[in-house]
Amino acid sequence: MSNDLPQSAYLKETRSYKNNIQVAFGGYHKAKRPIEDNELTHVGPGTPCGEYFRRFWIPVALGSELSDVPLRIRILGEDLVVFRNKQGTLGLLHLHCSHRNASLEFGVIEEQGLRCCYHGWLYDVDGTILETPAQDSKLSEKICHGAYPVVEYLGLIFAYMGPPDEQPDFPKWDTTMLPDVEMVPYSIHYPCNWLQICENTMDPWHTVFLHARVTDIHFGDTWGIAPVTQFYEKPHKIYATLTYRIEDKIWVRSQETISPSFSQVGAWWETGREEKYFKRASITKWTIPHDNENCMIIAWRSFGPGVDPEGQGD
Amino acid sequence: MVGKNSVDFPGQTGQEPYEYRQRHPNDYEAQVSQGSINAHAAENLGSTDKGVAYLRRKLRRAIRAIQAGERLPESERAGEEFLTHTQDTVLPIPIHPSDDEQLLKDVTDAVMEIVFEGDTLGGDERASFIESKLRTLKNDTRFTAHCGDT
Ligand code: FES
Repeated sequence: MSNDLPQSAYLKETRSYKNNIQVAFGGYHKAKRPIEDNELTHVGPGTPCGEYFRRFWIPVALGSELSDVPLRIRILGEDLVVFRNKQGTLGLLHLHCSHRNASLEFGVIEEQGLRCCYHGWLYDVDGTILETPAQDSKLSEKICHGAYPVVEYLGLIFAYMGPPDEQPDFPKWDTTMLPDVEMVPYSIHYPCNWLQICENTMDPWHTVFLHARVTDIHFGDTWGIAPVTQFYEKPHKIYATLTYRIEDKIWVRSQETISPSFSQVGAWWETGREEKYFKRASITKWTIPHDNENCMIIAWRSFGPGVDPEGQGD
Repeated sequence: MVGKNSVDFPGQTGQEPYEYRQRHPNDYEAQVSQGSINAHAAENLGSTDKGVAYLRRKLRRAIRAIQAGERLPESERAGEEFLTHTQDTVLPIPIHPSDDEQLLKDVTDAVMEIVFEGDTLGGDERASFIESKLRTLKNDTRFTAHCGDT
């Protein structure tokens, strides 16, 4: 369960948990699970990690999820509504109406914006209040509803949820512009914290055990060979390499994690038996927190001869 | 099928029957079962977990930098492109009779050096630069000295 304790409480508890008596049949000494590391895992508004996430463009929904009614989403602990107005422009607004807090998921999409169902206030995609029907005061001039900039790129909807004056340029990742590659969007919900999902790419040994040795072979049969693993670093980026000896070949696989939670991995059908050079990622993904205890992978799966000349992943 | 809650490789969504998931656990089972928020204090990280420790350390440093009021640096770009470096390379280099592990490490360093060297270029130009340099490694005497004359 999520806690609000300061970092010092976590460090203290970690020390005492590690100092527990280590003895066979000693479950009693470890019966209470220790608390989580809030600094790395909590993502709500104002939390350290939440502030960190709010410095990047992050994907928040699939374009294909939008329809003629608004889509309610939860990102970084904020309840939001995303919609495409009738002119085709995207909007991302805080869920609760600025009038009396009714949910805009029940709003009506109009030409220019979204109209609240309760008393008819009309919102532009940038949070400007266009109409406050029957109000005699000029409320709408004094208030702006919470809104975030959005970009749709290759079927994913990206938002920037940070301080407006720190908004970076929208990045176009090299692997999204390869010749003969089709990027197909997908997302998967996980009922747990974002970090443990994100960490997987930097846990190269799980591929040996989980994916090949412990129960079934999930991907290539060569994945059970013990790799040589190394790590390389650049600002805000970590690269893990897995290098396998496969008979008279050396297979060098690199995968990366880039701030805040972007990662790419190579083809899941690769076995490293055929000579090849600089074959690019088959998955380009983010782990995006809904809140402290829920997250999604939201991603593109790359198809086509540019990444998969033999069609092994089709 | 690739889309909402669906991808074309197994074990990612936890939608199979519970008993099947117990007998055939995959990514979803391993990661979600760590707990609703994985308690790092109860873990015991060892030599195979360097990457995880590394990621957490880097994340903590970045989080604290933002807390201290720092702004993020611009990422490496070649023109409009944000450069990434995930890749697979398979080289025909025979096994080293006495220290193959060291050979694998050295070849990996050489591959990554070339992959990073391409950062000044973009698009097709970068890809062909990296590819043609990687191709030379199979004949590089640093890695083939143990093979004798071929
Ligand atoms: S609560 Fe939305 S218009 Fe009144």
